[in-house]
Amino acid sequence: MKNLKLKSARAALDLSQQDLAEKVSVSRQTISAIEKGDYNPTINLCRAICKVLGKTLDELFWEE
Amino acid sequence: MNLSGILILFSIIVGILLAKLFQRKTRTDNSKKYRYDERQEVVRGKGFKYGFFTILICNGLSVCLKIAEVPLFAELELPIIIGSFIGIGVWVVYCIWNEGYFALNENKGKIMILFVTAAIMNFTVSTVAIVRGTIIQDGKLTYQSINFFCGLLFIIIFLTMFLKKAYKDGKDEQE
Repeated sequence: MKNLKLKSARAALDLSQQDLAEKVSVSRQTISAIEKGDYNPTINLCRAICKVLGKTLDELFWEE
Repeated sequence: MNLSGILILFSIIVGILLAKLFQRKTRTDNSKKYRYDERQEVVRGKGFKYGFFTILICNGLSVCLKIAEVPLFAELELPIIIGSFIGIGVWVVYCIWNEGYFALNENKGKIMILFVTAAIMNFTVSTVAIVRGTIIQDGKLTYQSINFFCGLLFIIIFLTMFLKKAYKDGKDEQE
């Protein structure tokens, strides 16, 4: 399932996939795979992404 | 051990040392190790598993054919080495296609140049062996054909990188 919340939170901060990837020390392809729903990140990576985007885990990764 | 055995061992050691030396030059930072993210580690692990089972199947098949006295295209050592090359190829191609091959701190361009150089060097050596007529003896391939298969492996890896890049560029344009 696509993670549109992550994509919109990233876009709201005007960050590209590459920018976010560099901030959390992963490859751009990994961010792309998370947004497309092709890869389920570990809790550590989820936390790192949340810190950079200023969101909580629930806001970005919890499915309603 | 005869002279050719010593030379082969020496060549392998020199090859490993050169590869280590080149590894340092391909890193984009000063760290001592290649860095992979968690998704890449998963991809590499899966690729390793597929490569490992490929080697098991290829080598098992070669040994079974030998036991069954089915005439092979070469003595047993060569099919086993070729089986290893196929396994390595499966691992590398899988990793490249799933974007887990290149580390975060690795210069892709330099690696591609290295692979093309390695392919050319191996094909040059195998061409010399073909011209001398030492690649086939008694209707079977000799160990001197290893360079040809090694060159072929590097060409396949390079082509995978090239195709992946073309596929990715096309996809990026669509997005």
